[in-house]
Amino acid sequence: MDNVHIVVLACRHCHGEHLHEVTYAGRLLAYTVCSSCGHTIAKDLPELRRAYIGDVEHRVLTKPRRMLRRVIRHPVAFGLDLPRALLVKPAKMEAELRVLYGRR
Amino acid sequence: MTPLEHHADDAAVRVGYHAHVQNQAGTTHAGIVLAAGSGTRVGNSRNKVYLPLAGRRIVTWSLELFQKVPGIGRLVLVVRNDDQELAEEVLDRELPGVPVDLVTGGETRHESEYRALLHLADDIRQGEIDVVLIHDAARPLASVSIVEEVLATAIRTGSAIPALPFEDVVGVDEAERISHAGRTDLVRVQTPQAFKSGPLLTAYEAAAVDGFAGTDTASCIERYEGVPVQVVPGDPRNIKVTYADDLFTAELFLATAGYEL
Repeated sequence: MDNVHIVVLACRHCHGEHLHEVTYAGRLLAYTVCSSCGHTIAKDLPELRRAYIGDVEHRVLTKPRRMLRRVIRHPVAFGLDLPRALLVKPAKMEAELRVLYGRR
Repeated sequence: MTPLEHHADDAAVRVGYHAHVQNQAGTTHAGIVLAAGSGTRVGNSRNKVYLPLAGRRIVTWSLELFQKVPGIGRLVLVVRNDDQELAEEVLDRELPGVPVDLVTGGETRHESEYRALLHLADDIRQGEIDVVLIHDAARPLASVSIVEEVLATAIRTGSAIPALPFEDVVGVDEAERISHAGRTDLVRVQTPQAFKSGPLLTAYEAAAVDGFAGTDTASCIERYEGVPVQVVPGDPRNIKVTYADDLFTAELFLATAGYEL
């Protein structure tokens, strides 16, 4: 899953429905930004960082099972996607860490 | 066959192995999740029901809810035409092996419901589907107990919708004074809503002939079948993801519940 999604949501600050940027750190919501008024809703950073560590542990532990399930269901697609997945993994982790430790 | 029927048949895609869950009477119940009209789309923005929430898409939580309830043997997901591929990918990744029928929705909620009903029409006419449950994909926090409650009530009375009291509403008279005369309690309606399948299909077919589009399912069945709709207690946690902060609330509720609703 990408870590930034663009969706239309209602904004309590400027009212009405506007595009929002929804940013995740791994599987956890990090913050949302309204494209109309800039209103930002963000999780408390220290709390998010703590939760992220627990989430990464869970992802690492469940990775073999998830990979196995995919190999069984779609062996060809898995084989074809694997090199690309390995190549983009460092960039994905960096993007997650930027959400946690970069400047917002 | 109406153009809608034709379209519904063309658009239906069955994902996964389908095993009907039947009760002793040989019938099953069907759960319809509406994801075709969830929010506006601008440019390359995505339908909000495909946003991740606690590691899975919002729509997955809504579908899995029905899957957990014994007796619901048919699952239908109503999607926008543009979202068809994404929906298939999400189902394959997040609900592998769970049989879900994909149906392309219409311009309105009413039309999307009608297309889903047309998809099930043969089974409904043959008496294979007893109750149809209709749920908004943008309500990922509905609990199994609320589904069981509306289902049991619909089996007994013909229909059931969950609702919460509108506690901060008062009436005013012609002189703009607060008045309780002739007051009827207002409620905030939630989903999932459940209806006996036969009257529901008949009501939607009659509405199609008349060109009537109800604002919700209950209004259509009340108008054409005269079936009084039974209200059951809703759940304050069963929020609809509308505002940006609803995402944080939903994530918190899920974490608090140990990701089991």
